[in-house]
Amino acid sequence: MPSREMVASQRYKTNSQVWNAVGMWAWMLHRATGIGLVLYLILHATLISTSLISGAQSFNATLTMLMTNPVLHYMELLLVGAVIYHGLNGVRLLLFDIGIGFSKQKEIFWAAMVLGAIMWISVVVVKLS
Amino acid sequence: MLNFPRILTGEGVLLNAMTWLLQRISAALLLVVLGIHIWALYVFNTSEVISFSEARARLSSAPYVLLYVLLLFFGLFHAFNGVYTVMVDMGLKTRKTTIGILIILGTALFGIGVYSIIQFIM
Repeated sequence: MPSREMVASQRYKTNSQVWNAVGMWAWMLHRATGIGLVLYLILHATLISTSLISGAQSFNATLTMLMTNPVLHYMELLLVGAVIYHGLNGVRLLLFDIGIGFSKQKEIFWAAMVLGAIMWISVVVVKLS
Repeated sequence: MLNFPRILTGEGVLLNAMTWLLQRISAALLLVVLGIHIWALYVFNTSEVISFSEARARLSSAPYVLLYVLLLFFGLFHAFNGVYTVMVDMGLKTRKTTIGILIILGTALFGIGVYSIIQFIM
């Protein structure tokens, strides 16, 4: 009986087949959102920590600047989208790691995307209303 | 008798296996602590701009202090271990130097974060 690796290598004989796979795009997007979230975390932790240390006036000025800026307001929606995607795809990966749902990985991915879209649209509606 | 997966017992791969496991554990914990953080800031808090006094009121309770220390620790570990994994996948050559830089950066951010929380609640 062929091993799982042999079956996978036969399934993806060409480069284009790998790039057409849902799992590959899920992995790429997981990495991209992860890098974006790391950059945000470094900025967020540094800014909030230093403004907390500087006192009430500095903290209030920083938070007012951040939370009333219209550009950052829209960028926050991207941040929420990245968190939702990374979190839901992360749950999908955690399920695989404990042996659940690997044979249904595409279906689980699309189910997670539908759930994520509903969550993200709800946040957009609340934030823009 | 417990049968551990070979990756956890194989010589020379124990550290990689432990960081792999910690990455999963931190991911699961982040789902909870980050969920509470977002809920506290955006759902529970209805004012347009979060003020110093609101933040102080929240951080006056021990569970919230614990929550933010855990969030910092697991968030930074998950983030920097993730960065290292991406770099290794891209063919990183200087692994020890990179690990050193990431540990210093992560520890510095954790230190300034915890220090700011302590300063804030004192």
